[in-house]
Amino acid sequence: MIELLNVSKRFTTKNKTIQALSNVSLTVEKGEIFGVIGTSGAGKSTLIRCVNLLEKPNEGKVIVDGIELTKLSDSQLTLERRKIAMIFQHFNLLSSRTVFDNVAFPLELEGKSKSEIKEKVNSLLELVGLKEKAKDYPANLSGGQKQRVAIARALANDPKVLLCDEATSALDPATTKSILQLLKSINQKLNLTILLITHEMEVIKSICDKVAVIDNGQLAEQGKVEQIFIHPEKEITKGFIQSSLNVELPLIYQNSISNIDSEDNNPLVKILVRGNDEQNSVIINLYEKFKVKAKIISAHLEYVGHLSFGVLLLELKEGNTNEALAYLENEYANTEILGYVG
Amino acid sequence: MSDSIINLLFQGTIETVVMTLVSGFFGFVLGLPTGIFLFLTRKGQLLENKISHQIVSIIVNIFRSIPFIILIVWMIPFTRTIVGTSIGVSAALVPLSVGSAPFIARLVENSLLEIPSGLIEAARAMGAKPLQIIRKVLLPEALPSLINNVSITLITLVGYSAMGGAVGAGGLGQVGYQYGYIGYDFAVMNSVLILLIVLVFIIQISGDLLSKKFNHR
Repeated sequence: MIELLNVSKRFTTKNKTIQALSNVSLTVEKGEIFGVIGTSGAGKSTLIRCVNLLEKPNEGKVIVDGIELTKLSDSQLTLERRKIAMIFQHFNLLSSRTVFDNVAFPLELEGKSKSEIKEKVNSLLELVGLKEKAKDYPANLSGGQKQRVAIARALANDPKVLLCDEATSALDPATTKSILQLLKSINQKLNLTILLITHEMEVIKSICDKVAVIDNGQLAEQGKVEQIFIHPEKEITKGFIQSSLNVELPLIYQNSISNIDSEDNNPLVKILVRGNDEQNSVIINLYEKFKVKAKIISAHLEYVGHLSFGVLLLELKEGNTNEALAYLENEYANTEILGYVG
Repeated sequence: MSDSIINLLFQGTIETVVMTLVSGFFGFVLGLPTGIFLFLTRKGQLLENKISHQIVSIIVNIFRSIPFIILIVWMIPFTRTIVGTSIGVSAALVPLSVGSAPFIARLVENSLLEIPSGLIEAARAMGAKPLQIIRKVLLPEALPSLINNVSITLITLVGYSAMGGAVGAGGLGQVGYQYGYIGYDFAVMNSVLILLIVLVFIIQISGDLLSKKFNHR
């Protein structure tokens, strides 16, 4: 549905050139939710703006629903954009228009009749659950409600794809969740293709089918979300996954931890478990193989589809702890000895 | 105060109001499109065009540099060809409109610059044509600020029209000039002053009210 082929984009300022995108290629299939994750400045905003040509790429092709946008004239492009909806981090609602008139805006551009507009807008406001706010101005709405209005507005022209530019980054966690649920339900109900960019792994994890990691203007890796979560290849990807899993050492351990590896001290290790049963049975393995009693100090496990992954903080007691440590370092990614406790 | 003086003040007030409103109207007819053009041709805007922007910008700056009293005199030949005379209310309208237009253009440009750029981006993303963006996004979003600028302009025009009074434009300016400068009449002079102040206050207060009414931000 969306195809970027070797897209490059440079920004030239007076004394330097910034390569915002270099040779980016990706394909989003119809009905898919595709997420692009990256840190700020990685080029993700430029990437999503290249899809509807708000930024014109210096090289490469942009194809949406079989139409090569990069070949169109400005006026043809304007008309084609009406089928490529977009929502934004800061909502970008017109402050001079009511909720109803904001949603009506794209329909007015198309020159639809008053009665058509009324019917369509009302059904859209119903879809996003804001029918009773139709006459309010955006200034009187919460962030979540504003984004709902923006979503209704985006859907007004029955778009082929929806582009989400950090759509939940300005929202609190609970509102983020409800907006993501709304996007997912729209995706399923209307079979709408969604391309989103974000810096939050949460967003990818909760609604995306596929993910691409962008770093320094290049796609570091891309694939199905489960696959990327379970077998990340690049450091940047591992970083994003780890940042979404937060385990902290409890206070009492923070006070007693030391670097001294002695007979009486037990090692504290942090291991990353992912996916398969073998890995998830780490505690049994440690006991059966080394007679080590592993005590779980803290853990964070997540599920992507039917696969689980996460971080475990373990205190290794009794048994042959040295061999157990060697075993863990061998078998588990990112095994880290945090220190020793008495 | 005699009836004829009261009549003169009344006549002067009407003339000043007419000069202010009519030249304000024509000032906007010239200044609004120019202001929109200045905004749209700026760097990074919809119709970015450095050369056109600079040319219009220089013309605007030249007209803004000319002191109004000089502009009136300088424009006399032009005024004559347009309205057939260089004296009276209708003659004053020409330099007042031309003098206020560049001022209005800059005010309009500034009003448009206050609009968050995301709104224009969103409108482009929705497939709005440039004219639709001007009509449906730029002007409505800038309306409260534009109304404030209308009051600023009209107040400036009250002042300009009074200046015009010194060279035969009519209005309260001329009354003040004749009864103040030529032969000092305390009562008339102060009546003119009070009438001008009241006029400015009415413009300012109604401008504020209207601007507030249309501001939903």
